[in-house]
Amino acid sequence: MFENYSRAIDSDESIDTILCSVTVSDYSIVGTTSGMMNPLVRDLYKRVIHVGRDYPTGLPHVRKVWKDSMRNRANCPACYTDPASSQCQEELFHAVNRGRFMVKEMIGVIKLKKYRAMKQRYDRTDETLEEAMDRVERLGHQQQSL
Amino acid sequence: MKILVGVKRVVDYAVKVRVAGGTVELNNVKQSMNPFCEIAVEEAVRLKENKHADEVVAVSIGPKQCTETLRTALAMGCDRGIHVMTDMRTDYMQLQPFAVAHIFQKLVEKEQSDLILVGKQGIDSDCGHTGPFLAGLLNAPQVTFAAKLQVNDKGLLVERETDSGTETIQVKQFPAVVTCDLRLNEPRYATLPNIMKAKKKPVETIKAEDLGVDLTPLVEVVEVMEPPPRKEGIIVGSVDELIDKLRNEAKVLK
Repeated sequence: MFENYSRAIDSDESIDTILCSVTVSDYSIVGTTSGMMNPLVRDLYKRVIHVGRDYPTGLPHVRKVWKDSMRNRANCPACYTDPASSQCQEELFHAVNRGRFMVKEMIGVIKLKKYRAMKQRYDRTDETLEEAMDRVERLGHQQQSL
Repeated sequence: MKILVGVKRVVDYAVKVRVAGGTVELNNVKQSMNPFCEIAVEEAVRLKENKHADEVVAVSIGPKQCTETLRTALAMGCDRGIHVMTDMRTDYMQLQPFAVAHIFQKLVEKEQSDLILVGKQGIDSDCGHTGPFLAGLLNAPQVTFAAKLQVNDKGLLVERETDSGTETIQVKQFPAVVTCDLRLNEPRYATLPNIMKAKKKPVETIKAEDLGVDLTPLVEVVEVMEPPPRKEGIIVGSVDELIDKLRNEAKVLK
Protein backbone atom coordinates (compact mmCIF):
# COMPACT_ATOMS: atom_id res chain seq x y z
CA MET A 1 0.00 0.00 0.00
CA PHE A 2 2.72 2.48 0.84
CA GLU A 3 5.12 1.72 -2.01
CA ASN A 4 3.07 3.85 -4.38
CA TYR A 5 3.06 6.70 -1.90
CA SER A 6 6.84 6.56 -1.58
CA ARG A 7 7.23 6.51 -5.35
CA ALA A 8 4.98 9.55 -5.66
CA ILE A 9 6.82 11.32 -2.86
CA ASP A 10 10.35 10.55 -4.07
CA SER A 11 9.85 11.86 -7.58
CA ASP A 12 8.74 15.06 -9.19
CA GLU A 13 6.32 13.38 -11.61
CA SER A 14 2.63 14.04 -11.69
CA ILE A 15 0.82 11.83 -9.20
CA ASP A 16 -1.93 10.81 -11.61
CA THR A 17 0.46 8.82 -13.82
CA ILE A 18 1.82 6.86 -10.88
CA LEU A 19 -1.34 6.13 -8.99
CA CYS A 20 -3.92 5.65 -11.71
CA SER A 21 -3.72 1.88 -11.45
CA VAL A 22 -4.29 1.67 -7.74
CA THR A 23 -7.76 1.10 -6.35
CA VAL A 24 -9.49 2.78 -3.47
CA SER A 25 -9.22 -0.22 -1.16
CA ASP A 26 -5.43 0.14 -1.14
CA TYR A 27 -5.65 3.36 0.79
CA SER A 28 -6.94 4.19 4.18
CA ILE A 29 -7.66 7.87 4.07
CA VAL A 30 -8.67 9.08 7.46
CA GLY A 31 -10.70 12.24 7.70
CA THR A 32 -9.62 15.39 9.36
CA THR A 33 -11.31 14.51 12.65
CA SER A 34 -8.72 11.94 13.70
CA GLY A 35 -5.88 14.33 12.83
CA MET A 36 -3.91 12.13 10.42
CA MET A 37 -2.47 13.72 7.32
CA ASN A 38 -2.20 12.09 3.93
CA PRO A 39 1.50 11.43 3.21
CA LEU A 40 1.24 13.22 -0.13
CA VAL A 41 0.00 16.34 1.59
CA ARG A 42 2.79 16.16 4.16
CA ASP A 43 5.34 15.73 1.37
CA LEU A 44 3.89 18.71 -0.49
CA TYR A 45 4.21 20.84 2.63
CA LYS A 46 7.83 19.77 3.08
CA ARG A 47 8.54 20.81 -0.52
CA VAL A 48 6.89 24.17 0.14
CA ILE A 49 9.04 24.77 3.22
CA HIS A 50 12.22 23.81 1.34
CA VAL A 51 11.43 26.27 -1.45
CA GLY A 52 10.05 28.90 0.92
CA ARG A 53 13.46 29.36 2.55
CA ASP A 54 14.73 30.95 -0.67
CA TYR A 55 11.51 32.75 -1.54
CA PRO A 56 11.83 36.58 -1.61
CA THR A 57 8.94 37.32 0.76
CA GLY A 58 10.44 35.05 3.43
CA LEU A 59 9.53 31.76 5.06
CA PRO A 60 6.97 33.05 7.64
CA HIS A 61 4.85 34.61 4.91
CA VAL A 62 5.08 31.52 2.69
CA ARG A 63 4.15 29.25 5.59
CA LYS A 64 1.15 31.36 6.53
CA VAL A 65 -0.23 31.59 2.99
CA TRP A 66 0.25 27.89 2.25
CA LYS A 67 -1.20 26.68 5.54
CA ASP A 68 -4.29 28.83 5.00
CA SER A 69 -4.79 27.56 1.47
CA MET A 70 -4.08 23.93 2.32
CA ARG A 71 -6.65 24.06 5.11
CA ASN A 72 -9.16 25.50 2.68
CA ARG A 73 -12.17 23.18 2.57
CA ALA A 74 -12.80 23.94 -1.11
CA ASN A 75 -9.67 21.98 -2.14
CA CYS A 76 -11.10 18.61 -1.19
CA PRO A 77 -14.69 18.85 0.12
CA ALA A 78 -15.05 15.07 0.00
CA CYS A 79 -12.41 14.77 2.75
CA TYR A 80 -14.89 16.31 5.12
CA THR A 81 -17.98 14.49 3.90
CA ASP A 82 -16.84 11.06 2.68
CA PRO A 83 -13.12 10.45 3.30
CA ALA A 84 -12.83 6.89 1.98
CA SER A 85 -14.47 7.53 -1.38
CA SER A 86 -12.74 7.51 -4.75
CA GLN A 87 -13.96 11.06 -5.31
CA CYS A 88 -11.96 12.16 -2.26
CA GLN A 89 -8.93 10.41 -3.77
CA GLU A 90 -9.34 12.25 -7.07
CA GLU A 91 -9.84 15.59 -5.41
CA LEU A 92 -6.78 15.07 -3.22
CA PHE A 93 -4.62 14.13 -6.22
CA HIS A 94 -5.82 17.17 -8.13
CA ALA A 95 -5.13 19.41 -5.15
CA VAL A 96 -1.63 18.00 -4.56
CA ASN A 97 -0.83 18.25 -8.28
CA ARG A 98 -1.90 21.89 -8.26
CA GLY A 99 0.23 22.43 -5.17
CA ARG A 100 3.27 20.94 -6.89
CA PHE A 101 2.66 23.20 -9.88
CA MET A 102 2.58 26.21 -7.54
CA VAL A 103 5.90 25.07 -6.02
CA LYS A 104 7.38 25.07 -9.55
CA GLU A 105 6.06 28.60 -10.04
CA MET A 106 7.72 29.67 -6.78
CA ILE A 107 11.00 28.18 -8.02
CA GLY A 108 10.59 30.27 -11.20
CA VAL A 109 10.22 33.45 -9.15
CA ILE A 110 13.32 32.61 -7.10
CA LYS A 111 15.40 31.95 -10.24
CA LEU A 112 14.25 35.21 -11.86
CA LYS A 113 15.04 37.32 -8.79
CA LYS A 114 18.49 35.76 -8.47
CA TYR A 115 19.31 36.27 -12.15
CA ARG A 116 18.18 39.90 -12.07
CA ALA A 117 20.18 40.64 -8.90
CA MET A 118 23.34 39.04 -10.33
CA LYS A 119 22.88 40.84 -13.65
CA GLN A 120 22.45 44.18 -11.95
CA ARG A 121 25.53 43.67 -9.78
CA TYR A 122 27.98 41.98 -12.12
CA ASP A 123 26.93 42.47 -15.73
CA ARG A 124 27.77 45.79 -17.28
CA THR A 125 27.75 44.81 -20.96
CA ASP A 126 24.26 46.26 -21.52
CA GLU A 127 25.03 49.49 -19.70
CA THR A 128 24.49 52.64 -21.76
CA LEU A 129 26.87 55.58 -21.67
CA GLU A 130 24.44 57.63 -19.55
CA GLU A 131 24.12 54.84 -16.97
CA ALA A 132 27.91 54.48 -16.82
CA MET A 133 28.37 58.21 -16.26
CA ASP A 134 25.69 58.20 -13.52
CA ARG A 135 27.45 55.33 -11.78
CA VAL A 136 30.83 57.04 -11.89
CA GLU A 137 29.31 60.28 -10.63
CA ARG A 138 27.62 58.48 -7.72
CA LEU A 139 30.94 56.85 -6.85
CA GLY A 140 32.53 60.28 -6.92
CA HIS A 141 29.91 61.67 -4.49
CA GLN A 142 30.56 58.70 -2.15
CA GLN A 143 34.28 59.37 -2.25
CA GLN A 144 33.68 63.03 -1.43
CA SER A 145 31.49 62.21 1.57
CA LEU A 146 34.18 59.83 2.85
CA MET B 1 36.25 13.22 -19.50
CA LYS B 2 36.31 13.77 -15.74
CA ILE B 3 35.08 17.09 -14.45
CA LEU B 4 35.95 18.75 -11.16
CA VAL B 5 33.61 21.52 -10.05
CA GLY B 6 34.46 24.04 -7.36
CA VAL B 7 31.57 24.97 -5.10
CA LYS B 8 31.87 27.79 -2.58
CA ARG B 9 29.68 28.38 0.44
CA VAL B 10 29.08 32.12 0.72
CA VAL B 11 26.69 34.50 2.39
CA ASP B 12 23.41 34.34 0.48
CA TYR B 13 23.11 36.94 -2.27
CA ALA B 14 19.90 38.40 -0.85
CA VAL B 15 21.28 39.00 2.65
CA LYS B 16 22.25 42.51 3.69
CA VAL B 17 25.78 42.06 4.98
CA ARG B 18 26.76 43.72 8.27
CA VAL B 19 30.15 44.55 9.70
CA ALA B 20 30.80 43.41 13.27
CA GLY B 21 34.07 43.24 15.17
CA GLY B 22 36.13 44.50 12.26
CA THR B 23 34.95 41.81 9.83
CA VAL B 24 31.83 40.70 8.09
CA GLU B 25 29.36 39.12 10.48
CA LEU B 26 28.78 35.44 9.70
CA ASN B 27 26.84 34.30 12.78
CA ASN B 28 23.19 33.45 12.13
CA VAL B 29 23.48 34.66 8.58
CA LYS B 30 21.98 32.64 5.76
CA GLN B 31 24.70 31.02 3.67
CA SER B 32 24.26 29.16 0.41
CA MET B 33 26.05 28.20 -2.79
CA ASN B 34 27.75 30.96 -4.76
CA PRO B 35 25.53 31.77 -7.80
CA PHE B 36 28.48 31.50 -10.19
CA CYS B 37 29.34 28.09 -8.72
CA GLU B 38 25.73 27.01 -9.36
CA ILE B 39 26.25 27.95 -13.01
CA ALA B 40 29.48 25.90 -13.06
CA VAL B 41 27.72 22.86 -11.54
CA GLU B 42 24.87 23.18 -14.05
CA GLU B 43 27.33 23.26 -16.96
CA ALA B 44 29.17 20.20 -15.65
CA VAL B 45 25.89 18.30 -15.22
CA ARG B 46 24.78 19.27 -18.73
CA LEU B 47 28.08 17.97 -20.15
CA LYS B 48 27.47 14.71 -18.31
CA GLU B 49 23.89 14.48 -19.59
CA ASN B 50 25.11 15.03 -23.16
CA LYS B 51 27.56 12.16 -22.65
CA HIS B 52 30.64 14.36 -23.01
CA ALA B 53 31.74 13.65 -19.44
CA ASP B 54 31.83 10.47 -17.38
CA GLU B 55 32.01 11.79 -13.87
CA VAL B 56 31.39 15.07 -12.12
CA VAL B 57 33.05 15.62 -8.75
CA ALA B 58 32.09 18.61 -6.60
CA VAL B 59 34.61 20.13 -4.21
CA SER B 60 33.92 22.47 -1.35
CA ILE B 61 36.30 24.01 1.17
CA GLY B 62 35.15 25.18 4.56
CA PRO B 63 33.58 24.18 7.88
CA LYS B 64 31.29 21.20 8.38
CA GLN B 65 28.25 23.14 7.10
CA CYS B 66 29.82 22.93 3.63
CA THR B 67 28.35 19.44 3.35
CA GLU B 68 24.93 21.09 2.91
CA THR B 69 26.29 23.03 -0.06
CA LEU B 70 27.80 19.82 -1.40
CA ARG B 71 24.44 18.07 -1.03
CA THR B 72 22.87 20.81 -3.15
CA ALA B 73 25.54 20.26 -5.79
CA LEU B 74 24.94 16.50 -5.65
CA ALA B 75 21.20 17.11 -5.92
CA MET B 76 21.80 19.12 -9.11
CA GLY B 77 23.47 16.07 -10.61
CA CYS B 78 27.08 15.62 -9.48
CA ASP B 79 28.27 12.09 -8.77
CA ARG B 80 30.59 12.53 -5.82
CA GLY B 81 31.54 15.20 -3.36
CA ILE B 82 34.83 16.10 -1.71
CA HIS B 83 34.70 18.24 1.41
CA VAL B 84 37.98 19.86 2.39
CA MET B 85 37.50 20.62 6.05
CA THR B 86 38.93 23.78 7.53
CA ASP B 87 37.85 26.20 10.23
CA MET B 88 39.41 29.19 8.50
CA ARG B 89 37.14 31.88 7.13
CA THR B 90 36.74 31.33 3.41
CA ASP B 91 35.64 34.87 2.54
CA TYR B 92 39.15 36.25 1.90
CA MET B 93 39.78 37.10 5.58
CA GLN B 94 41.84 33.98 6.29
CA LEU B 95 41.75 31.50 3.43
CA GLN B 96 42.69 33.25 0.21
CA PRO B 97 42.55 32.29 -3.46
CA PHE B 98 46.25 31.34 -3.68
CA ALA B 99 45.87 28.69 -0.98
CA VAL B 100 42.56 27.54 -2.48
CA ALA B 101 44.25 27.11 -5.85
CA HIS B 102 46.98 24.98 -4.23
CA ILE B 103 44.31 22.79 -2.60
CA PHE B 104 42.56 22.40 -5.94
CA GLN B 105 45.87 21.53 -7.61
CA LYS B 106 46.40 18.67 -5.14
CA LEU B 107 42.84 17.43 -5.73
CA VAL B 108 43.18 17.62 -9.52
CA GLU B 109 46.36 15.53 -9.31
CA LYS B 110 44.58 13.05 -7.05
CA GLU B 111 41.41 12.80 -9.14
CA GLN B 112 43.14 13.11 -12.55
CA SER B 113 40.45 15.50 -13.74
CA ASP B 114 40.36 16.73 -17.33
CA LEU B 115 38.21 19.80 -16.94
CA ILE B 116 37.92 22.10 -13.96
CA LEU B 117 34.83 24.29 -13.86
CA VAL B 118 34.67 27.08 -11.32
CA GLY B 119 32.59 30.20 -10.95
CA LYS B 120 33.84 33.54 -12.23
CA GLN B 121 34.11 35.02 -8.73
CA GLY B 122 32.77 34.53 -5.24
CA ILE B 123 30.13 37.06 -4.27
CA ASP B 124 31.74 37.54 -0.86
CA SER B 125 35.35 38.14 -1.88
CA ASP B 126 34.73 39.26 -5.51
CA CYS B 127 38.31 38.27 -6.38
CA GLY B 128 38.05 36.08 -9.46
CA HIS B 129 41.56 34.77 -8.73
CA THR B 130 41.13 31.06 -8.00
CA GLY B 131 40.57 29.96 -11.62
CA PRO B 132 43.59 31.78 -13.09
CA PHE B 133 45.85 30.79 -10.14
CA LEU B 134 44.88 27.16 -10.60
CA ALA B 135 45.54 27.28 -14.33
CA GLY B 136 48.97 28.73 -13.64
CA LEU B 137 49.82 26.08 -11.05
CA LEU B 138 48.68 23.23 -13.32
CA ASN B 139 50.30 24.85 -16.38
CA ALA B 140 46.90 24.37 -18.00
CA PRO B 141 44.97 26.45 -20.55
CA GLN B 142 42.29 28.64 -19.02
CA VAL B 143 39.22 30.44 -20.30
CA THR B 144 37.71 32.99 -17.96
CA PHE B 145 34.21 34.55 -18.18
CA ALA B 146 32.92 31.69 -20.33
CA ALA B 147 29.51 32.50 -21.78
CA LYS B 148 29.13 29.48 -24.03
CA LEU B 149 30.73 26.05 -23.94
CA GLN B 150 30.70 23.49 -26.73
CA VAL B 151 32.52 20.22 -27.13
CA ASN B 152 33.91 19.55 -30.61
CA ASP B 153 36.35 17.01 -32.03
CA LYS B 154 39.38 19.20 -31.35
CA GLY B 155 38.45 19.80 -27.71
CA LEU B 156 36.42 22.58 -26.18
CA LEU B 157 35.11 25.65 -28.01
CA VAL B 158 34.46 28.38 -25.49
CA GLU B 159 33.06 31.88 -26.00
CA ARG B 160 34.44 34.44 -23.64
CA GLU B 161 32.51 37.58 -22.74
CA THR B 162 34.58 40.62 -21.85
CA ASP B 163 33.86 44.33 -21.65
CA SER B 164 35.30 44.83 -25.11
CA GLY B 165 33.41 42.02 -26.82
CA THR B 166 33.18 38.26 -27.25
CA GLU B 167 36.19 36.01 -27.93
CA THR B 168 35.93 32.45 -29.20
CA ILE B 169 38.69 30.20 -27.92
CA GLN B 170 39.50 26.60 -28.88
CA VAL B 171 40.91 24.60 -25.98
CA LYS B 172 42.97 21.71 -27.34
CA GLN B 173 44.89 20.56 -24.30
CA PHE B 174 43.57 19.01 -21.09
CA PRO B 175 43.42 19.50 -18.13
CA ALA B 176 41.87 22.92 -18.67
CA VAL B 177 40.30 25.47 -16.34
CA VAL B 178 37.09 27.26 -17.32
CA THR B 179 35.59 30.07 -15.26
CA CYS B 180 31.84 30.47 -15.68
CA ASP B 181 30.07 33.76 -16.22
CA LEU B 182 26.43 34.64 -15.66
CA ARG B 183 25.07 33.94 -19.14
CA LEU B 184 26.50 30.45 -19.54
CA ASN B 185 23.28 28.72 -18.52
CA GLU B 186 20.34 28.89 -16.13
CA PRO B 187 21.07 26.63 -13.16
CA ARG B 188 18.41 24.19 -12.06
CA TYR B 189 16.89 24.42 -8.60
CA ALA B 190 17.65 21.47 -6.32
CA THR B 191 14.17 20.27 -5.33
CA LEU B 192 13.52 18.27 -2.19
CA PRO B 193 13.17 14.82 -3.86
CA ASN B 194 16.56 15.33 -5.55
CA ILE B 195 18.15 16.35 -2.26
CA MET B 196 16.76 13.20 -0.65
CA LYS B 197 18.26 11.09 -3.45
CA ALA B 198 21.57 12.94 -3.12
CA LYS B 199 21.95 11.76 0.48
CA LYS B 200 22.98 8.37 -0.89
CA LYS B 201 25.84 9.80 -2.97
CA PRO B 202 29.30 9.56 -1.39
CA VAL B 203 31.01 12.59 0.14
CA GLU B 204 34.65 12.29 1.10
CA THR B 205 36.01 14.51 3.88
CA ILE B 206 39.67 15.56 3.85
CA LYS B 207 41.34 17.90 6.31
CA ALA B 208 42.94 20.90 4.61
CA GLU B 209 46.12 20.49 6.67
CA ASP B 210 46.53 16.89 5.50
CA LEU B 211 46.98 17.98 1.90
CA GLY B 212 50.38 19.53 2.64
CA VAL B 213 49.43 22.98 1.41
CA ASP B 214 50.54 26.29 2.89
CA LEU B 215 47.31 27.97 3.94
CA THR B 216 48.69 31.24 5.32
CA PRO B 217 47.13 34.33 3.75
CA LEU B 218 49.33 36.44 1.50
CA VAL B 219 47.24 39.58 1.87
CA GLU B 220 46.30 41.11 5.20
CA VAL B 221 42.87 42.68 5.46
CA VAL B 222 43.44 45.91 7.35
CA GLU B 223 39.94 47.32 7.60
CA VAL B 224 36.41 46.30 6.70
CA MET B 225 33.75 49.00 6.68
CA GLU B 226 30.22 49.46 5.44
CA PRO B 227 29.67 51.92 2.58
CA PRO B 228 28.57 55.38 3.75
CA PRO B 229 24.80 55.61 4.15
CA ARG B 230 22.85 57.45 1.53
CA LYS B 231 22.18 61.01 2.51
CA GLU B 232 18.54 61.87 3.10
CA GLY B 233 16.71 63.78 0.44
CA ILE B 234 14.70 66.93 1.17
CA ILE B 235 11.21 67.75 0.00
CA VAL B 236 10.94 71.09 -1.74
CA GLY B 237 7.78 73.16 -1.84
CA SER B 238 7.71 74.49 -5.38
CA VAL B 239 9.51 74.36 -8.73
CA ASP B 240 11.16 77.75 -8.04
CA GLU B 241 12.59 76.43 -4.77
CA LEU B 242 13.89 73.34 -6.62
CA ILE B 243 15.62 75.46 -9.27
CA ASP B 244 17.05 77.70 -6.56
CA LYS B 245 18.49 74.70 -4.67
CA LEU B 246 19.88 73.12 -7.84
CA ARG B 247 21.56 76.39 -8.82
CA ASN B 248 22.97 77.45 -5.46
CA GLU B 249 23.39 74.40 -3.24
CA ALA B 250 23.97 71.48 -5.61
CA LYS B 251 25.59 73.71 -8.24
CA VAL B 252 24.45 71.60 -11.18
CA LEU B 253 22.73 74.47 -12.99
CA LYS B 254 24.32 77.70 -14.07
